[in-house]
This record gives sequence, C-alpha cells and structure tokens, in this order.
Amino acid sequence: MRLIVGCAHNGSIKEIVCNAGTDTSVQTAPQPLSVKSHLKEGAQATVCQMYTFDDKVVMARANGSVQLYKITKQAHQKKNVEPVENTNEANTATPVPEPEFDVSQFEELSSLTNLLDDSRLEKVFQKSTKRTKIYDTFVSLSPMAGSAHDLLLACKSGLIYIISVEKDAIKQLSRHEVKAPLDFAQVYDNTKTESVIFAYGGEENLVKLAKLSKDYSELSQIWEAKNVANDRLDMRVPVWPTALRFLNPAKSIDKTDSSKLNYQFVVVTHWSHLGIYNTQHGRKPQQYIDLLPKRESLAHLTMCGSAEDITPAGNLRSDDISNFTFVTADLKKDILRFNSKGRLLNKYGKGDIVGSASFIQAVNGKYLLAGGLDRYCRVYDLESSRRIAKVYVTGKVNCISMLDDNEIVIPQPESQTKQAQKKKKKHQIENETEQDVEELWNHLEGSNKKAKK
Amino acid sequence: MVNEINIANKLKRQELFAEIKDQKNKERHTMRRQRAKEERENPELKEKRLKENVTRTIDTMRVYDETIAQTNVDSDDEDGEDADAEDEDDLMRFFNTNQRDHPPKIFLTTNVNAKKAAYEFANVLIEVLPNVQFVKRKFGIKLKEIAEMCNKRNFTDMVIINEDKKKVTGLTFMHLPEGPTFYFKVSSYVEVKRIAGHGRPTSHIPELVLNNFQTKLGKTVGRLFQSIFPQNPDIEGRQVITLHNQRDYIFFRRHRYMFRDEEKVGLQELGPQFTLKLRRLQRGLREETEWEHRPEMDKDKKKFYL
Repeated sequence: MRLIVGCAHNGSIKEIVCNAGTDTSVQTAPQPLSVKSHLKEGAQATVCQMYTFDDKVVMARANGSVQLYKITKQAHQKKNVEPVENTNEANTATPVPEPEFDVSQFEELSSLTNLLDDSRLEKVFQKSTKRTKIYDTFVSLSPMAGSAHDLLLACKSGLIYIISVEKDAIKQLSRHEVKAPLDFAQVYDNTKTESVIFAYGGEENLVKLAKLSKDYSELSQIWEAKNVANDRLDMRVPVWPTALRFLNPAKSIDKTDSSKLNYQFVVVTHWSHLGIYNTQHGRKPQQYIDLLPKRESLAHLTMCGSAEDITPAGNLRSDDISNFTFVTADLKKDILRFNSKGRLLNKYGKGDIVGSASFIQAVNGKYLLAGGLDRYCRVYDLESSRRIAKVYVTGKVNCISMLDDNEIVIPQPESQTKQAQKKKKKHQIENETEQDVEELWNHLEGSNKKAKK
Repeated sequence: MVNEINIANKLKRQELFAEIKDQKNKERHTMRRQRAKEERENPELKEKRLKENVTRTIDTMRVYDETIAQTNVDSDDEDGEDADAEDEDDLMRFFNTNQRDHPPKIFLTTNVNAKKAAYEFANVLIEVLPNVQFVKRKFGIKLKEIAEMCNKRNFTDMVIINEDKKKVTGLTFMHLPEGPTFYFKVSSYVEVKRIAGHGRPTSHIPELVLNNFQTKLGKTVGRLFQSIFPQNPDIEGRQVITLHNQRDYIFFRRHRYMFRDEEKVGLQELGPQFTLKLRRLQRGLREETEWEHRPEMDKDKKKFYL
C-alpha cells in the first residue's frame, strides 16, 4: 500500500510504500519498502490538511498557505552503495532480486498564501478551557457536493474559503466569516442539492448549518442547534462539538414536514457525548449519549461502512439513525468503535498506542488509518481491528492519505521459491491422503452398517 | 563441596566449612592479585579480558527500539543523516536554544493546599534550580491564569511540586508558553543531612551531565533538563548535576569534583538525592497526551522507553 503522511516536526510529507504485516518496531518483521520525505518547509509550515484526487494533491499548511502538487510516479531505484557491491561478489551464487515498485515525485503547480488569521482567536482563547494559546489552523479541506474540483477550506478562526482547482492552478473563489472557533466544517454530499450545505461548530459554538449560494458569493445560516436541557443538578451542559458526519435525510414520508429542513447528522463532543440530530425532530438532539464514563475528550469521528456507503466527504449513505457504527478517538490514547446506541464495540491498537491520535480515517470500508503524537502511522483492519501495518515516521503525524492498497510483489530467490513449491506439493499430497482416508473411512462405515444389518 | 561434609557434629562441621571457605577466598584473592600484576605489566591483557567477558545486563538486552538513532541506517530510503538534524529541529521549537536571549527563569510552586513536606522540598529545589522564584500556591487561581501571569513576567518554565498525604510524590515541569508538560514520580529522596561527608553547595552555575537518554522520548526528557539549566556553567565552581537514566529511572545527584593530582579526581557529594520516573508527557499545558506510563508497560522487563 502507498500512504502519504503529513509530519509535524519539519513540515514534510512522507511517502510510505509498504506491504501488509509491516512493523518497524520488530526487527524481524517486514520493513517498509520505502519511506521518503518530500517538501520540507520547516516546523512552522506543517501540513494540516490534505486532499488527493486523480494525480494531484492539495495541501493546507499551518503557515496559511495552500498548495497544489502533481504526483508523478517513477520507478524506484536502489542506491548503489559500495560495500554492497563487495558483498555481492561474495554471494554471487544467490543474488537477491529487488522488489519493483514506483515512488512518487511531487511537483508544485500553484499555491495560495496568507489564509490564516491568528488575531481572530485572541478573544476566543480568553474564554476557552484550553490552557495553551490557540493558533489558527485549517480544520477541514473537503470537496464540494457537486464538483470534485471545488474545495471548502475552513480555518479554526471561522474563516471559510472556497477554492477551485482548474487544470494546474488553484484559485480562491470566495471568503466568508462565521463564528469562531471552528473544530470542524463538514460538507453535506449525500444527496444532490442546488446549493452547497455544510455544518460547522466548535468550543461553545453550537452546530450550525449554513448554505452557500450557487456562485459561492453568499453564505447564510439556515439552522442552529440548541443545547440540551440542564443536567439533574440544574447545571448547564457545556457545548463543544468536535466532529460531525451527515446521514441521509429521514425517509418516512408521512412524518416529514416539508416546511422544516430535513437533515440527519451525528456529532461527538469534547465532553464525550454522542449527539444524534434530526432537523425534523427539532433543534435539540434526538439522542445525547454519554460515551465514556470519565468524560474523556473525543476529538475525531469517522463512519464505518462499505466503500459505496461513504461519500467523498466522509458522510454515511444511510438514513437509519439507529443502526450505524463509527470510530472515534480520545485525547489520551484510545481509538474506539461504538454503535449508534453508544455501546463500545472494540478498541484499536490496545496496548500498542501510547499517544493520542491526531488523525483517524476509515478508508474503502476496509482500513482504518491512524496516526498521532506517538510518531507512528498505523493501518488497521476496520472490522477485525487487527493491525495491518505500523511505520515509524520520526515526527508527529498530522494527516494521512492512502493512495492505493496494492500489495507489492517481493520476488523470492530461486532456491526459496523451489522450497516453497516443494512445501506446496507436500501440502497437496497431505490433502490428498486426507481425502483418501476420509473416503476409506466412509467406505468402512458403510460396510459396518451393512454388517449390522 | 558442602554435600561432601558428612559430619554429624554441627560445630565441627561449621568449623570445617569455614576453613574450606577461607581457603577458597585466599585462592581467589591470590589469583586476582597475580592477574592484576600481569595486567599492570601488560595492559593489553586487561583489554582483552574486558572485551571477552562482557556482562549481559538487562540494559544491554533491551528490546529493539527504532527511535534510538542509529549511525548507519541500512534502509536506503531513510534519510539517515538528516534524521538527526530533524530531531534538533523538532525539539528546538519547544525549548530555548538561544539562551542568551532568554536565560531560563523558573516559577516554582506547589499543589493547592500543600503541607510542610512540599515546602521543605521547595527549599531544596530553590538551591538546585537556577534563577528560580517560589510562590505559594493560592486557592482559586486556575492553571491557565498562572501560566498567563508567568508569560507576562517572562518565565520560561513552571515547576509544580505535587505532595500527597504529607509526602512529595511528583514533580511537574511545564515549559512556557506552549508546553510540553512532563510529570515525574519522585521517589528515594535523601535529604542533604543524611548524606555522609556531604559538602556545601556554592552559588555557581553547575555543569550538567545527562546520561543514557536514548530514545526519542528520552531525548525530549533530556532536552527538558538542558533547557532548565543555563548552558554557560561556572567551571571554577566545579559543581556537577548528574541526571543518570537507567532502566527508565532518572537519578538526580549533585557533586563537586576536585583534582587531587594529575591522575586522581575526587568527588564530594553535595546532595540531595532523588529519583524521577516519567509518568506522563503531554502536549501544551496538560492537554493531549503524548506518552503515558501504564502498568502493563512494566510487564516486559527488557522494554525501556527512555
């Protein structure tokens, strides 16, 4: 498989080419075939969001620039180091064939700069429960519902940019301001809509739905959530949605009120709640479930489903709000999978992960990409939660993108292949004999029965 | 040997046994004396012996850790030489490297409602840490507010003594303004008075010895201590602070050295002694966890994290 990882320590991205079973923590396990860093721009310009399409990748960096790169593939060439040649002479009898695969090269096509504004967050920080100063970053970069070449770029400070990729250039189409701070901005792309709808929210910033006009020039808020009722001690429940995913609109025809909006979405909060909203039902959530007993903060959300069920923006194509599963991560170390009832199904990377996850994403309905502060990039099997690959990437992981999941054929030296063939043959013989034995047994049983009769 | 002694009388048996033991000891001592003599004449022998008989300790058998920087990385694509440079880059973002502009200035306080033990430990730390200011912790001021006040007064680090049930149990180091935060467990504290032959420290800036911090996490911890002590020691003070990491325990010791003659060096301990163990590393001021100790980590005796 081929992964691109955005690293926090030097603003680089790393391309990892590895096979299933890769584990850099174990010396005897398969090691990644290639780990190569590209586009270093220093720690101030780490890649925070990444979006890949066709053979291009758009990266949003923490210094406020957005860049478009073209990925070209090149055959991997092994460096010829002199001592290797010397050893080759010694064991010329068994030359080890090298696996053949491609590595990517990145070519910058176009960029935009100065999209972030820290000054907008100063007041927010005063009220925030965060102790460390908040800097503006990009919180989401996702394709629009209609065209894959228009992207919605949201900043923590509440700035929303619409950018478009045309041929080899990116252009800023419009700029809007919404209430800061944002922790997410999620585009609705489950059904075709005339104009783009997206949801946003953040610390003490309730979930809001906003609509962009067709030419993206105007932004209007169309819906705002309402906080849940006070708790049993009559204390206000704090608001801090951290991630949101849409579901399909509710279907039941008799109940839907056409005068009201019809959207369904799921939210996880910093105070470890799961909120299930249905705009037909009202502004308060239909369900508000405590997921974790100690109110550990949840930060990410990704829906589970087959590749067809997940939209490009990560929404779930299903209108059943009582039957779905999702993966979320807390700020300590756990990556957890829950169902819609708030029941814990399983944990990923039990005992292996030590730092909090800063990125999780389910891909192709098969894999879960996870990376975090412990400087590893991990790939899990989504269903069985078995680890497929683990690669050390030197820096903290900001984002991961999977380009393909093809296994790379590792050629075996001839002697080994012969051995393998022999083994296969042996296995076949064993199988045959087992079959024979079974036949014989059946035959015997038959004869026994006959004898009894 | 013991089994061969079949004497019923216990006194006699013991006598005989002592004799045998004494004999063996003498043999061993003469062997060693002779070996030392030979080796003094021919130092190569000693080198050879030491090379052949390497003790296998738990440390040398530690589980492979890929974060320990290796000099020659065999995988061709890994940017081997760059790795170190990257390391520096990563850590420099958090710590003062150009200390001439910002010499370390430390804000020392305790947990809320601390007892006597915490203040006594604070007195000790005031002597150890350079450019430190102790402030009594008041109830009702949040950590965020304290950090803000410290930032305004150009403090570079905040140290909090954690006391529980009249015992000092932990130390929290926070780098200002943006973290990271380290929480250490404190154990085996020996006060200066109880160290035999201890000396009196002077106000010179000590030299710093950091031993055996190997992994990425270990280097981050090492960098914390580097950033706390000024990097221009007063060499005439001949004082050394050692932070020695062994099996994830960090031993704090303070000495004064003295050159007796050209070859011999004397060490005088100044005290105090205590041991730190990293329990948690968090990003920012106690925000996302970067590393946390869990009890399961102690299961594998040969796995070390620092």
